[in-house]
Amino acid sequence: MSIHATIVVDLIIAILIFDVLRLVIGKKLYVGYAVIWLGVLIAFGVLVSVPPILNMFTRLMGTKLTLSALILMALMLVFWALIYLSSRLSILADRVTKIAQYIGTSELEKREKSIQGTGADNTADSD
Amino acid sequence: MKSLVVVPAYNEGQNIRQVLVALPEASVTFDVLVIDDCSTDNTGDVVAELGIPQIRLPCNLGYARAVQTGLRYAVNHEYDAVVLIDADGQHNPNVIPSMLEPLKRGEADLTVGSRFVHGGSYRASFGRAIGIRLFSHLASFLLKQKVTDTSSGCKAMHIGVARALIASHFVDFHAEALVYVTRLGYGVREVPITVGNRAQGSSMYSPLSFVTYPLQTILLMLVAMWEASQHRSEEFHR
Repeated sequence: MSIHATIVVDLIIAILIFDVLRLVIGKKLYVGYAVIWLGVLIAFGVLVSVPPILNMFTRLMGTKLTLSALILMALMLVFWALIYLSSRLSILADRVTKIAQYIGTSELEKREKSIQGTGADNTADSD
Repeated sequence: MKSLVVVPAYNEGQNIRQVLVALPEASVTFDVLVIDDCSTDNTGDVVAELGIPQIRLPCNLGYARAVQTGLRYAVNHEYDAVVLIDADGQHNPNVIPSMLEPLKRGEADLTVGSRFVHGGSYRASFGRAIGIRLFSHLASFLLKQKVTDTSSGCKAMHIGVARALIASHFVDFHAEALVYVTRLGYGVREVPITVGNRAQGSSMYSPLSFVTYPLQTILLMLVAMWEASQHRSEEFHR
């Protein structure tokens, strides 16, 4: 990769790191997720900025061009992130389900208790 | 046998009245519980007007989660059996006694109202008929017993089956649920039912479901088999 391209990529990574930190400070991103993204961004920055590591990575991926290796890795990262997000969404949906079921059932039980209470009061009155 | 009839409903304001009014015509006694899955029409108001107990979910959870809510209620309130019928008016409440009878006699733990077994009647669209037949064959193979209607919403079950089903992550309580309970050792039997046409409104299945439903159900059947085997091995080790 040319020095120009390396600088551009590093600059984008720096902006993304800044954005992740901004989201954490604004309480819009959990620290647990932020750590993952910061780790990925820093690792990507190091990979792009240090040519021997990048060359080793290209050989490891079995591609001829450095760019192909990076695109391959980026694609895998995107798939992993989407699967991970789907999993988190499923877990959250499950929690929402449990809360909704609890609210709905509690309201019915509350109504039933108040009806029973009214019935008991009426019986007491008639006595 | 203390039984609860669970009627999951979503935007069935035009149909649910006739379903609930017809329920007392069945010749057995049971309690009725409507699960209003956060309908945007007057479903909840119609049910309230008729004085029938209902759980009004604060957000739309989908058919299976609505059913699960009803099963959970039945388990918590110590019912002996649960009957599921649709709120669209397609199921005749007169089938409830025949759905419960095999449970009472101890001949089955779960009965499925079949539209295709001898005595049942239903005319499905071409695509749907192929899907139902395909899944029936697949489920029959996995269940090691013949089933003809895996997607029927009309079911009756012992509370033990309900308890097992609420612990799982099923989508539609269809073929995968049958595979799961059978693998757990519960007996399944089909009962012939007559299904009418939906009076008003539209089905919960979108055109996209014709692509996603088969894939989803096949995956769920495999997961159900794995879950059941895990459950059985846990029981064994206990």
